[in-house]
Amino acid sequence: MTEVFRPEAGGVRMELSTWQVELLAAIPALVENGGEALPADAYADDPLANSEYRRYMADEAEQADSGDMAIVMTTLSAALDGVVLDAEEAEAWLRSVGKARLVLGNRLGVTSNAWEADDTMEETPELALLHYLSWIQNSLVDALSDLLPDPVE
Amino acid sequence: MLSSAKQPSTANVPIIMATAPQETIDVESDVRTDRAWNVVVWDDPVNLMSYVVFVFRKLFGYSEAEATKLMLEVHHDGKSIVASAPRERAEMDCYRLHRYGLWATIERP
Repeated sequence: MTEVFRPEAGGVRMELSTWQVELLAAIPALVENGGEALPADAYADDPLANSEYRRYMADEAEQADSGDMAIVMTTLSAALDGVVLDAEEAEAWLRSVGKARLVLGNRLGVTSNAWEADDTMEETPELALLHYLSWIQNSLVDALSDLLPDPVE
Repeated sequence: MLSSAKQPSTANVPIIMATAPQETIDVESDVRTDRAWNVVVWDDPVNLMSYVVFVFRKLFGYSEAEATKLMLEVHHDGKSIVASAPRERAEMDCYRLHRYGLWATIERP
């Protein structure tokens, strides 16, 4: 199967079929309605420090997420013909797909790393979408990894 | 009514009294906040290994080998320290990890 994301001069090329565009259009609503499935606390056992942290960061986080979703929706509408994402657009995609996966995992009640190979899990649209987004994420990670410098240790 | 003659002395006294203890507190809190905090990433069942490796490389500039070692620590030990920094910087690192959906917290060493 052709890779959805391919590294290209200036960024990452994304090319999607009609049905993929339709599936991926579900991402913003998933993430917006799944806040409780996403990490937000900076302190493991300090509610006071957490409320302070959230007070400083909540607005910024919300704006950053909306920015990511706007990028996803704008570039998605151009992806049928193929579109080149610049570095920031590609990262916005990566973050959004990552968060949508967390929301789906939470809905499915995934608690163990074994879920990927667990063929006793009931087949649901959510599980199918999670597998599809895993594949999307891997394609994007592969493309973006090619653009990262690998420092000499 | 305040006399102009009294103003210099009343103005001086509070300045000295207010400044001295504040400086002491600031120095102490600076020492506290400058001590490095650890940025910890916790294991979760949903994020993919390849994704976690990429995020570590992207955010902290680790080589693929270093990032893979840290990811495997998360996977096998349940958590890994991915950075150490003064509190404010550690909070920012934590925020950047959250942006990618990684379960991160900060703690004193």
